[in-house]
Amino acid sequence: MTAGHLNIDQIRTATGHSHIGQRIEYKAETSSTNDEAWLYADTDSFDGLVVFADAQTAGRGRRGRIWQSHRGASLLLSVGISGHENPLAGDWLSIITVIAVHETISRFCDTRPTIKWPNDVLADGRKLSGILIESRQNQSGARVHVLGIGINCLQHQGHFDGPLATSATSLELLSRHPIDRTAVAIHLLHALDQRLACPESLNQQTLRNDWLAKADALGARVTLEHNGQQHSGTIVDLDPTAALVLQLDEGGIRAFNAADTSLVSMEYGS
Amino acid sequence: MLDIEQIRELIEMMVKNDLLEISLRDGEEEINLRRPNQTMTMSATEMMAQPATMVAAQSQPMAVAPPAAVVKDDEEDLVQISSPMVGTYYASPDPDSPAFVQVGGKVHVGMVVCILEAMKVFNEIKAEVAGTIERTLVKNAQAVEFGQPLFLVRPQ
Repeated sequence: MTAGHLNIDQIRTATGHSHIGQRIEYKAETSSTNDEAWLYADTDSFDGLVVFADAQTAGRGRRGRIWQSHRGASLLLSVGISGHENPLAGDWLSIITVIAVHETISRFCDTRPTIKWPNDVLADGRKLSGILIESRQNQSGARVHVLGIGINCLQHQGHFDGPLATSATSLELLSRHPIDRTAVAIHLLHALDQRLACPESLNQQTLRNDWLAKADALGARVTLEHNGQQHSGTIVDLDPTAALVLQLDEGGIRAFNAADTSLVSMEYGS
Repeated sequence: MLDIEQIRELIEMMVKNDLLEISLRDGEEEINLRRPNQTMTMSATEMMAQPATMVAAQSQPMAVAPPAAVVKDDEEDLVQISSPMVGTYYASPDPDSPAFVQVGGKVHVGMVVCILEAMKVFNEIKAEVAGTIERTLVKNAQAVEFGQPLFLVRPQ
């Protein structure tokens, strides 16, 4: 057994008393862990369910983009979330997830990672993780969510082809120590559980401060594209809907929602 | 002059109380905050050279947003399927797949009609009415607002 082996029994033991991870499934190979998680959407075990896989044949990113991963190199998982009345649990789900992923990556990475708005984790300017969150109504009419998360763990430089050669990296490449995917998984599930197991305790101000600090965002200069136009300015806040608030160079303060805005460039403040 | 924290508190208060407009005047300083159709416009004569827009301020939290609203259109005897949130409309699950629904196609209650992306969450939206799609009112990848009509359906 290598350090890279995903030890599901050890993960089950570590999350035995947690809400996130109360049921854990493992597939050596699947089309996508999100698809596997959705199979449980109308069951009692959906909320807190975690599905791991060592390989995905149709792993997907945003809008059908392919999520490439060599077998056993990434940590690939999906988490089922339902039954939350606190609107923050849905509205800020993307932010909550990336904060937990960033926290986990920070623990295992010798280089300080940052967050590219809204939910990519980067180190040395290269992408380390991907998040795809899907939301549906289940048969009883409740809106339920699946958090799909991929973290590059054991890849070496030769694993990244084409554009990924200069845009992607892994924990192994950024650490002086061997990476244990099991330890990464346990840390991530605990970080998610800390925020999602008790959604009534979620605090918008805490999440906002946490995200702004992890993203090194306050004072950073960014250029965004919105409705075909580029806008440059300095980040001054996340608003109550988790939109990015800029002090624009052309004057004024404006909030940009992630749904219809893309980040063109970002320079961190001193 | 109000700082960003005070403006944020005002915005939160407006969202919480579903207020559409607040005006504050203190001597020469004047601030107006408006939220027409979930689009918030903010101007302050001393703070900024030109009005700025606070886009996509949702008064209806996504997690508790109602299902796609069905509103009867009296003029055409059609019903609307409206957006339950601020987001980006996608007609298909991914760019290479066919649209969930097409004009002339049948829909049934519970059938997925589109995806709305909000804060990087991809939300499947289901029909609450059975019938035939008469018109699609938005384009793929278009930004939509809370309550904006997406489809007109001729009910069965």
